[in-house]
Amino acid sequence: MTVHVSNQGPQSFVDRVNRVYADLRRDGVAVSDMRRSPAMELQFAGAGDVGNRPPTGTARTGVEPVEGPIVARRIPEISPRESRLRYFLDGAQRTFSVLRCGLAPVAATVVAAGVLRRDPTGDGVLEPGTLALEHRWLIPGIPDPALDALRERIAAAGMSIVDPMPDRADGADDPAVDFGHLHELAYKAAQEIRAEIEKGVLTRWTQRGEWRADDSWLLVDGRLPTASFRSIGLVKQFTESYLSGDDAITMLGLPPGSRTTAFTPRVRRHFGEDSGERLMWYIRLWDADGLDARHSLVRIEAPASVATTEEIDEISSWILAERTPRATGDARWATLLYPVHLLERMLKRRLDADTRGWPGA
Amino acid sequence: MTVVDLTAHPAFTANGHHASTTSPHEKYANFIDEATGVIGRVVGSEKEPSGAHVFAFWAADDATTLDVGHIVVAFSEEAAVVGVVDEPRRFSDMKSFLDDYFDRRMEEGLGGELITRRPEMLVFAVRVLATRHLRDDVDSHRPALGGPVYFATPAAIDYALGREDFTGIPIPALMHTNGNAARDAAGLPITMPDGNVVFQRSPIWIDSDYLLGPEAGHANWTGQSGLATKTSHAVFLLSAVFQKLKAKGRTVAALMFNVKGPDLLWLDKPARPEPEDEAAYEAVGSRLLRQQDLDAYTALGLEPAPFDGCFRIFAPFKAGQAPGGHGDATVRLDEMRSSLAGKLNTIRDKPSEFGPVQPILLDLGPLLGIPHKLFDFGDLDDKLSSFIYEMRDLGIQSLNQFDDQMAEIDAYFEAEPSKTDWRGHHKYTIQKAKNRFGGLHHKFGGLLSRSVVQPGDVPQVDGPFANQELRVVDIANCKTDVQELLVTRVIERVWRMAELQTLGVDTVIIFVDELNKYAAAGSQGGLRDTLVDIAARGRHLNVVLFGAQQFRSKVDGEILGNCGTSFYGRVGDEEIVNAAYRSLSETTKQELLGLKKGRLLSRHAHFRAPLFGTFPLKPTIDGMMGQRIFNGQGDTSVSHHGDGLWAVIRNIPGLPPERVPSRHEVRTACEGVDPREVEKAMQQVSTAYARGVTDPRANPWRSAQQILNRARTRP
Repeated sequence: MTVHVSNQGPQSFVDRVNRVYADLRRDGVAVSDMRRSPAMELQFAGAGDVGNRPPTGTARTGVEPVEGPIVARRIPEISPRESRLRYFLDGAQRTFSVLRCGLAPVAATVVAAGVLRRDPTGDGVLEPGTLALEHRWLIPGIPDPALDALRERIAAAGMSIVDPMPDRADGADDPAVDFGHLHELAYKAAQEIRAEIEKGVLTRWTQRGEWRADDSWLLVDGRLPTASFRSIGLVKQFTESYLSGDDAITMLGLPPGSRTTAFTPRVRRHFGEDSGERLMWYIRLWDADGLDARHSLVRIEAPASVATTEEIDEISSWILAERTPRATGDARWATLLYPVHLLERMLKRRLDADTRGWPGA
Repeated sequence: MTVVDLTAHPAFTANGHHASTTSPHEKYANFIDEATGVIGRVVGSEKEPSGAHVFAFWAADDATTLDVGHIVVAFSEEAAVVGVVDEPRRFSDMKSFLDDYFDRRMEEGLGGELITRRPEMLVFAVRVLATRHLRDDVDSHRPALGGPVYFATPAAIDYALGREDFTGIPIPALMHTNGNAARDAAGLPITMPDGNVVFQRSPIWIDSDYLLGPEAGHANWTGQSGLATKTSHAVFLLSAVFQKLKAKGRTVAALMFNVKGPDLLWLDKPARPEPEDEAAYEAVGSRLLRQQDLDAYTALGLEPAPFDGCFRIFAPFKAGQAPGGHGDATVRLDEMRSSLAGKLNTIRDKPSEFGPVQPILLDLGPLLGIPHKLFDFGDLDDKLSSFIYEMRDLGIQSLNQFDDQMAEIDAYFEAEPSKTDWRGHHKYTIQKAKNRFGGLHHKFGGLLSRSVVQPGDVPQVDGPFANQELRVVDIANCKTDVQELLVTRVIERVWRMAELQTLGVDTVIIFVDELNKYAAAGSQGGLRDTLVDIAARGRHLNVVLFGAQQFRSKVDGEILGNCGTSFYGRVGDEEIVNAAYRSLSETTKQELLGLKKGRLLSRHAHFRAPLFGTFPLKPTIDGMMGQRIFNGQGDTSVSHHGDGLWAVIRNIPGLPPERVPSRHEVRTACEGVDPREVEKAMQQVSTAYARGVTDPRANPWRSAQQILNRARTRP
């Protein structure tokens, strides 16, 4: 993985992609320019789990309650100073259509991830050495001479290529090539790249000697990619729930400042082999009266080392303490923690700098 | 002509510049305070791009001393950009004030400090003062690039204020204080006894060629009375001009009009007392020069010295005391010199301090040339004007002569009852003239004599000037008619001398307070026309106008438009909304609304943007304090009956300093001598040397000693 933080000179995303494109044109490779398309993040905004949705609705695999039945619990309030959440991890990506090669869309993504540290003064600063920035090409694994030529040039330029198409069983026929579906798959692949890079940042972070000696906690915006010590994930947007039936009714009816009792999902289908077991619960941050039942509802994912009600309450109270200040400039403010909002702005500025001059940016 | 393809030449860039390896940051490293370091970064956005005249930068969190009015440096591609910090704004990502309210009040327990501090960035606008390109022959206007911003060094400030382009003598007008620390030779911050750092200060220079001519000229002060320190700064600037021109061998004099109390009557007395006067200064609570003032004078290269070179106060007589009664053909001013104290309309009237005071007395003759100043506009019709010109042609010089002429005309009509006119003037017109002229003596009481005035060797208010002479015309206690006539007459006469090149010095500065009264916007005639003329042509004729007023918007636009230098003190809100201030930024206007005493906004021909600065206490004692100390009665008065003699000798133009005795010496010599005899000696010396020392052998102090010795030995 290429990790760099420079946004100057020939290392920028724009320069690298443009150079490849110019070489292709010069050599007469049959590709069509798509660089003026808007970023996929804009195209798929609000589309939920694009390319990730199970084909037959929401799958319920059941949960294992760890605090007795799933019920609502009032979260004890604490002074903000008592919170041990000091670090926040997030990532951002920007994915652009670059070329069309026959029926295959060729895209490229630039991903940034990092850790924000909240000082005792309340100031948020990007923790030095944590920023990861990566460029990847997204080229479907379709046999095509032009695509092969493209792959060769990209490899020669020292850049990485990801095939967004799902793994196929040996000897299986290639599915029918559909431009729109491949486009969605490219976006899904970009999200996965981002998750992978976030996971890398988290892993490097938790392996630091200073972290082990520390007693503060880190919050990951989104799912917790590994069951790391003193780390929690905050999932703020979801289309499926781990709870069903009366449990789901309890979750959707949570009053503000309350949580469900915790549970562990029986099947960890969202995580890889090394992900470890998770403890989960839901928290309602703000009053949802008159609003969508999922308004201000977040899911907390914690490593299984968090086990007692006292610990879960404590973590929940830290989350509640993060409700203010509110990032009201962002439509997701009801579930978006302010330090995460700050970090997002920093990362997006890095992406802006790296993609400055891109025709579709 | 040889045409060279510059782009083909490796030593040149495509723009034709020599491909220098030096960046402006390197070349102008002496412009930036590297020791303090970067204090912010230039930002230009789509909505607020950086421009040639204004750009913005955000301030570093630790640049806490940075503030409005400071001078900073940024860079464009090939130039250093120096500007003055203007409008500050703090930004946060909060969409509405309500957000913060709800953040803190929506639920119990949220009222305290928030767990994460919402970032607030401080962005300052910068008004560009100067841009210095790598090449001296390029006048760059390219905006600053996004990049670091530094505090400017004195070298950068000097450059930004056009010091390199000065053609005349640099005159320190104000002191600019920046937000960075002053440093010693080792580069360490200089600290005060209390541990606070001393901020970097640098003079705000103005170019004498643009203040006193010939390139530009004139200065103007505006601001609220009592709060704007207009007169104090005018006195300070005059002192600076006098000192700097003297050092360069140029001659200069000034004429001021004292319009209020004792404001300008004690400009020959120092703000820093002589050792023997310290107790008296302290007793009346006179503000002494503080150490910071003395430091400022040192930094500006000035001495905090009063105008004791040649200081003269001119005043008319008190109403009803003008010499020359009915029947007196002439009045000789030089013969009554010894009896003038108490008769002139000035509150500096203590005999021992009366030395610099000189009388003003006019006769009718010269005034017949300016009838519009003598009579009300409604009275002065063509018929009366014609009769007045007849009187002038007949050589009428005094009211007594006029009365004689009237008697002659009356006799003519008595002898010829059938006649209705005399020399073509209807007898009713003559009757009207007789009536109006009859009231002049009272209308201009104290100023207009009935007789012909013969000044003898008494210095004249409208006579040629001596080098370094400060001439104050005291009209504070005069009624309006006298004030207007006197101001008009004196300025017109000085202007006439300028046209005839008989000023006696290279440059004469005329200071006129209450300019909105003498040259009101929209007015016409009289003094306004003369002042406009001075403003327009004075710089070529070596007369410059220093004007001051409370309301700039009410002063004639031509006068203001011709001022190469302007100073603004505190301005009231009803005034600042006027168009006269439209070129100032909103922040600058807000600053002016609450400006502290001793701080002014300056504009000068060399400055691209106005600049705030401070000045030390003026080098002379406050007028009111001077009045109490030197003119008072009782314990607070320090005056000795020999002080007047000392002042007269010291003020003799051209007297070498080594022949000026110390005050203590004069006081000792006067001990035991009747004060009236001392006064006689003073008058005699004053008369003998009214025109200064013309004979190098002359020794006024020795002459005075002889007179005193004779008086002492007289039985």
